[in-house]
Amino acid sequence: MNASPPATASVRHAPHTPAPSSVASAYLQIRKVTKTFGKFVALADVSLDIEPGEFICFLGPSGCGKTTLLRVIAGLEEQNTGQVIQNGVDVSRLPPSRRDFGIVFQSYALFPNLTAAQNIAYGLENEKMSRQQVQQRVQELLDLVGLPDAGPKFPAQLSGGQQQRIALARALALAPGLLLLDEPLSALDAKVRTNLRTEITALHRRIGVTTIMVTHDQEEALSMADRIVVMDQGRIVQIGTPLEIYRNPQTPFVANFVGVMNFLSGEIVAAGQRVQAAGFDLHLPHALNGAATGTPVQVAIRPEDVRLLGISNGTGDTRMARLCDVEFLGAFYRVRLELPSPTADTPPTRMLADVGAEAARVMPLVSGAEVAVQVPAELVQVFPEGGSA
Amino acid sequence: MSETSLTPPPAALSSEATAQLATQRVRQNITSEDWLARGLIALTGLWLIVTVALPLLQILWRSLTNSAGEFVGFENYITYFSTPALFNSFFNSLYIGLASMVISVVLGFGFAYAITRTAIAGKSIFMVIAMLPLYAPSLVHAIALIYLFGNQGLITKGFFGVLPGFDIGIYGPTGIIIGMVLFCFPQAVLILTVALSLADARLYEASTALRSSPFRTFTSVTLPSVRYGIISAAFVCFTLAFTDFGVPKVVGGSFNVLATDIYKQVIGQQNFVMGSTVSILLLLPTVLAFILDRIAQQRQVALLSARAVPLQPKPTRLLDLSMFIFCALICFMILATLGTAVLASTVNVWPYDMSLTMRHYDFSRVSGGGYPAYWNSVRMAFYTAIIGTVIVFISAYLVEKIKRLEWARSTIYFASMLPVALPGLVIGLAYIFFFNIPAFNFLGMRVPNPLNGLYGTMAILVIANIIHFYTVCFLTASTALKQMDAEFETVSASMGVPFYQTFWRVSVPVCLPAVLEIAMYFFVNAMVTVSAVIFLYPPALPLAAVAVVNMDDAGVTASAAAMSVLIMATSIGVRVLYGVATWSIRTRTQAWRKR
Ligand SMILES: Nc1ncnc2c1ncn2[C@@H]1O[C@H](COP(=O)(O)OP(=O)(O)OP(=O)(O)O)[C@@H](O)[C@H]1O
Ligand SMILES: [Mg+2]
Repeated sequence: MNASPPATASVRHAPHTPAPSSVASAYLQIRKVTKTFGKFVALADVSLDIEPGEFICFLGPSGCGKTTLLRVIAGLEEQNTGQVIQNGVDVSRLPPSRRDFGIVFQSYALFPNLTAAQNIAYGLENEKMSRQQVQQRVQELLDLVGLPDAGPKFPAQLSGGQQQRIALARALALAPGLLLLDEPLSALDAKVRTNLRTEITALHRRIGVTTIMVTHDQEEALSMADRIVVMDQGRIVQIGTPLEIYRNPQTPFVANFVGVMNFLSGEIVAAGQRVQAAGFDLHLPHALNGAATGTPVQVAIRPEDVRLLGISNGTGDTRMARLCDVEFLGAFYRVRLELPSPTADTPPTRMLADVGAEAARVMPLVSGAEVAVQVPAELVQVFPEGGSA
Repeated sequence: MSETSLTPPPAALSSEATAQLATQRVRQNITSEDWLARGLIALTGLWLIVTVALPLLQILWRSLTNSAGEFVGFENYITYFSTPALFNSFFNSLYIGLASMVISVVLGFGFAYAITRTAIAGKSIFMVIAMLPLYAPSLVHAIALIYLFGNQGLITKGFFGVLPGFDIGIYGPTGIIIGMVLFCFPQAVLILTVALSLADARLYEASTALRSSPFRTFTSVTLPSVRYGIISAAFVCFTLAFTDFGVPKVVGGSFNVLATDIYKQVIGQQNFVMGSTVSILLLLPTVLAFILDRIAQQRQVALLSARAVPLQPKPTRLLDLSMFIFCALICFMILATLGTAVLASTVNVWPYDMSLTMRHYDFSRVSGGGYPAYWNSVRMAFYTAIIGTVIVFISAYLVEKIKRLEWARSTIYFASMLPVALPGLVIGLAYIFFFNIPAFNFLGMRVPNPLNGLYGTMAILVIANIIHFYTVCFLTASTALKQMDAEFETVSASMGVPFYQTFWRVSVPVCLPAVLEIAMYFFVNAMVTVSAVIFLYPPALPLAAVAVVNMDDAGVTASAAAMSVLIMATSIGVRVLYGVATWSIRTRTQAWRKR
């Protein structure tokens, strides 16, 4: 969000719900953390508060610094500057072994020569616990992750999904205050992945441990997180609930990264309320602060918000377009549209529209047909031109 | 959006606080566990300084002084190069090294190609036979060559006059090169089979699809993919042949090489100064080759992508047949030489009285040390295996798995690579200089040498052997450790389990096959080596491989052959034991390896 904050701020019109930021009650506070590898800046001045019991997802493209931030929180990387405060204590200078967290990696990192039970008991054996207590706790954890009989098996005898559950049980064995998951699901098959996704969420709800999960899968983040932290190039670009991130992305980057988004180039025609883009003339329901007439903008709309009509209703938010092709995606159809250019020297604009199976029954989708397209003004986002889309 | 309410702009912080945040680099506290890791890294560094760096500096210094210990600059080198008798052997050595290297690599490549890329029968038998020379001292090949081609040789005499005999002139470069090739061949095969077996079938399919001729495929796909393997094999063979002492000692005749010169200077003339000068000359080409090899290996990118499909060789009649004959011929020659040594040790008077006898195995009436020497060697090899494995594995672990002290770990890594370029004779001579000095003169102060007590003991022999074979073992250990998940240590730390506990409970068990392989490698090599120990063994501790040299010198060649056979039998026995051990580990304690 620091890339071009003033410009974005001035033209954004969607209502904004501030994220909870009551500093006093935060379980984990990250304050102005910067981390460089040589000259490369992996984390630039990152600040973040996490509430007790929250499920947070770090989301962002590859190499944006998600893992680095997670490792700084765990103490596995030393930040150059900044603080990590956990449970009211500044842990910045503590080595990982003195911090309170459990961690799960994409590779599971289960000890191959120890059984599932021995893996889970690995950290317990250093505690002051009797053998019986250890065994009891191990069984508890095996039950918790839904593998009560896996104890005597070696990792190589378990499936990927089962191995990841054992890794999860091992991370939870010492009842840590913070659970860190670095892309725990990326090594698994699509099916196992969705199953485990729901199970991790259910488990989190049951034990309520503050959890941070790194992912580059937006679907995973949207379905699992209480709040999503979207990162790009070592910076936090937006923090918010999945709905906020999806409905009100604060930059074109977020809009583009989370879900699919159409971008239409245009300009403001009447300061604060009217924009024209790709032949659409939209009266915005909320005023745009301080954007002068003539300012070039990007109008963004999600494919599922674009409406296809049988005939044009003649209003400014409706235009005729050519239906190029139709892709069947199960629950809905994704339609590729071409809007003829108003002037001859600019190429036609392409956009996507999602049509529900229900609606498609009413209006047959034929490639090459002329259709009326409506862009509802109350569902668009307006970004200043030149933002990182 | 009204961002200002969310995060205060940087200007809101007091300038003092900002400055503090910007300048103060966060450093984690150092725990007792960190101190332990640091201590161990320091110890490893100290070990390499004492066993590699300081002795090498000593020998370098000696080559720049006269016999009275005064600094004379390059005078010794000038003397060396202006004495034709001496400096001829430098070129002789280069000639031997390069010729043996080329022949071994070419033959080794053909053999490795047959094993990995053709569908010939009997691959495992061929491979076992090709590796046999590794279990014998290099002298054995030379002794066998003399029994076959020497003045009284079986072939020279035409198989007891049955055939017309002929003399190939074994004494001199011909004999040395044949002996060297026999000695270097298995090393070349080992490296090249690994390189050739890392083939991606998809490249070959693409080449076939493009209708490339087999020859074109060979030059455009096969050769480029193994060029780093070839460079490595060339380096190893050159170093071995350039520095070996055993073969030229036995069949060299009047053909002098650097290695025999050092021996003559030190043992014959007690001229330590010239000995160290020649040592440095022996060292320069090997260090140069080492640097070239390092540069080449660093250029090597991962040629094999994770999705590579292993190549399944398809039968091709003509190629398979010719490759089979080629491998069979090579194996026949290896078996013939080793067999000759065994046979010669069990007959009365080769080649005149071929009746069987065990009398050559009774060493009581010959010099060299006999059975006590043999048992000394076994003890020395055993200690080398145990202590060497512990040191190598722990130091490789520290280098691979400890995250702190980056510079110290990379220095240790480099220092651990260096010994592969050090000829055994140079290590031996350097150790004499370093450990024999009662005190160092350090800036005018007399500092007693605390390691002086090791001189002339079993300990120094063991240390010399560990360093001589250090690099290969270190690489084996670090490869095994690299294959373990990098996050094991992280996970342990998150559970508050110290690294040494994870080392013992996870790293060692998981790497057990590699650990055993290292121990076996140390044992076998300590058993057969001559060069590293010939200057160092005290009279009270005769050694088997040295006894072979001395008995051959004294003309009791049959006894020398008998002792060699004992050494070979022991090494092969240990190799078999290793096979059985890894097999039973794989089937029992490492149940986890199977699904
Ligand atoms: N030890 C390191 N040395 C140098 N650069 C590093 C190191 N670790 C990470 N980086 C760099 O820092 C950047 C951020 O890395 P990080 O692993 O945090 O990315 P990520 O967001 O987790 O990406 P991915 O989704 O691919 O895992 C990358 O450009 C990476 O190359
Ligand atoms: Mg990552």
